[in-house]
Amino acid sequence: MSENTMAPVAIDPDAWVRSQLRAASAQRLRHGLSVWVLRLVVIGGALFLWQSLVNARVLDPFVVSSPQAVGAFLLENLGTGKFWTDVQATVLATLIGFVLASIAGVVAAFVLAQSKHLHDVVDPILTFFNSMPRVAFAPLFVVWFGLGITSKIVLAFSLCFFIVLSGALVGLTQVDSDLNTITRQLGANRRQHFVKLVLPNALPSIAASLRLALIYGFLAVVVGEMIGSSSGLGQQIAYYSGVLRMDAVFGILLVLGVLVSAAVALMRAVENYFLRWQ
Amino acid sequence: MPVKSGGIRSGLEQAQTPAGTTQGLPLNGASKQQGSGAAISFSHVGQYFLLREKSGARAIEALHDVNLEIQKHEFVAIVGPSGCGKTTLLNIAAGLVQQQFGEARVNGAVPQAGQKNVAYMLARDALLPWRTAIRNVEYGLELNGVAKKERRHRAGELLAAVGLSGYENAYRSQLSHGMRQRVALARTFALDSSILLMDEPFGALDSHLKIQLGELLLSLWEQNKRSVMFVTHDLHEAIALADRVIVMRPKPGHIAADIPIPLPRPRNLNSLQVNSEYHELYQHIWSVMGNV
Ligand SMILES: Nc1ncnc2c1ncn2[C@@H]1O[C@H](COP(=O)(O)OP(=O)(O)O)[C@@H](O)[C@H]1O
Ligand SMILES: [Mg+2]
Repeated sequence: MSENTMAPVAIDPDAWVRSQLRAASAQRLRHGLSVWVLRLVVIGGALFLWQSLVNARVLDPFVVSSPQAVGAFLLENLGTGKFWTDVQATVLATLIGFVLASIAGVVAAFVLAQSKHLHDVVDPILTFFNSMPRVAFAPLFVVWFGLGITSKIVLAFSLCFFIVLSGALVGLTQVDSDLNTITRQLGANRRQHFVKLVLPNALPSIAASLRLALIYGFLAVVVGEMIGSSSGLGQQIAYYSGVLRMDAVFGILLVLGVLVSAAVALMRAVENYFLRWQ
Repeated sequence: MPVKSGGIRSGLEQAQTPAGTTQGLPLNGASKQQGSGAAISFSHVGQYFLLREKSGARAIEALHDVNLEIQKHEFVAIVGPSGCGKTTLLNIAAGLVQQQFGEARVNGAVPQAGQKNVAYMLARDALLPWRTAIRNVEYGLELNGVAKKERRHRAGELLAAVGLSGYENAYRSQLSHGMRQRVALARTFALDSSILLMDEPFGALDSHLKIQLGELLLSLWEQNKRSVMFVTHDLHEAIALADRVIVMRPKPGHIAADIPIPLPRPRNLNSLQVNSEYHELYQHIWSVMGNV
């Protein structure tokens, strides 16, 4: 009754909200669609250009291959057991190295965050190790740990560990002083201070370092496999490069790119869920 | 080392109340006999800080011979220009700074960070960004082991009291400045501490919001009178809220005047704006602040 007397203009607020939401989601859909269409145009255009230049003999297919040849290689190989064994070897080595390094990196960061003294002692040492191009260790690790998966895991570990360590250390040591004061003042004990303030505060930088570490983990394993290995996509790349099969090299790189992108996208999704407050 | 001369009281430790029980004192006469001592007292408190400059280091006397008692249920505002030692004095009561000279007592005991009978509020909201509004309000209750159902209930009531029902599940990033400070206010009241230490809690808000939140603070305070030490650099705010205004001056930080505010309670901050007694008090204190 009051509605009738109060609203001289007939607007149904619920209907208005619904129409606004509909308009917003239509807008989002249009945007997403146009982004995807343009993206495909860019990719398709580049492939078309590449193929045309090869067809016109401007580029030598022996040196740069061609989209057609790469496609043919993938069609031929993606179904074979050998190919998937190699994918498996690379992914497995990466995951083991990455997971071990992540755990070790976070734990080490936690230990270092406890003591400024210890932190000051090891900080330049860490920086030193971090600034070494550690993929150069690959031949050494192959000598030490053999042609199997172990040398790749160690190499991936050595890259991932320092990335996670420094990221987690930043997160664990940079707590806003007001949040610290309030948490203390509300009566937190040491354990609560860590679990309820320091750890959640560090999660965004830990997550970012994990994402970076995963990418570098793949890099390490592939390089390791290229240097010396009995299996893996890196070994395939090394082999096909040696026999100048550029179609195969590009095809395998494409598969690696898809794998790493998918893994990173998955991590981002998990991150977005847990860090949705950001 | 601070000199110990507290007699009987210095030996008293913080009363350990079981978590979740109400600590606010009853409003009837019984509290008078029980609370013979002051809620907060400073006697001959002095504090230096080391200031490093290019030309060398020197000592800054942040507080010089400060004597002040805040009685139970009393609302005391501390005003003064920035750098006169207001925050330092508050932090000594909070147990966050250990004074170099003199003595400080909170409910008769040496101040300790994390004491349960003291709540602390800052100019910045200091909300945990990964917690929703309601989980920020219940943060202190959670740290003190109050069961989830009970603390959720209490936090919900407090959010409603500060006018934020419907925003229980909003994150800090989704709230405006004023709303964040309301959540912080609700968190401050959640533990039912008998003493509130507030360091320019509304200092970052515009004047309209300041009055709104001041009203809110007073209405929460009227329900269950706690002892309040309210630091501000805004004299209007100090007079409107407090029973007593302490004027501090810098170099070295000291108390220059202690002026009672006899305005009747409960106060309506909007009508105070056109109250002549209020403006006379303002002019009086303003002249005192200028002269000392
Ligand atoms: N932790 C500290 N270290 C060095 N100097 C400080 C510290 N805290 C406060 N001071 C100095 O003490 C004086 C009083 O500061 P403060 O209590 O913050 O004043 P107010 O809150 O009134 O602005 C200032 O000169 C300030 O620079
Ligand atoms: Mg201050």
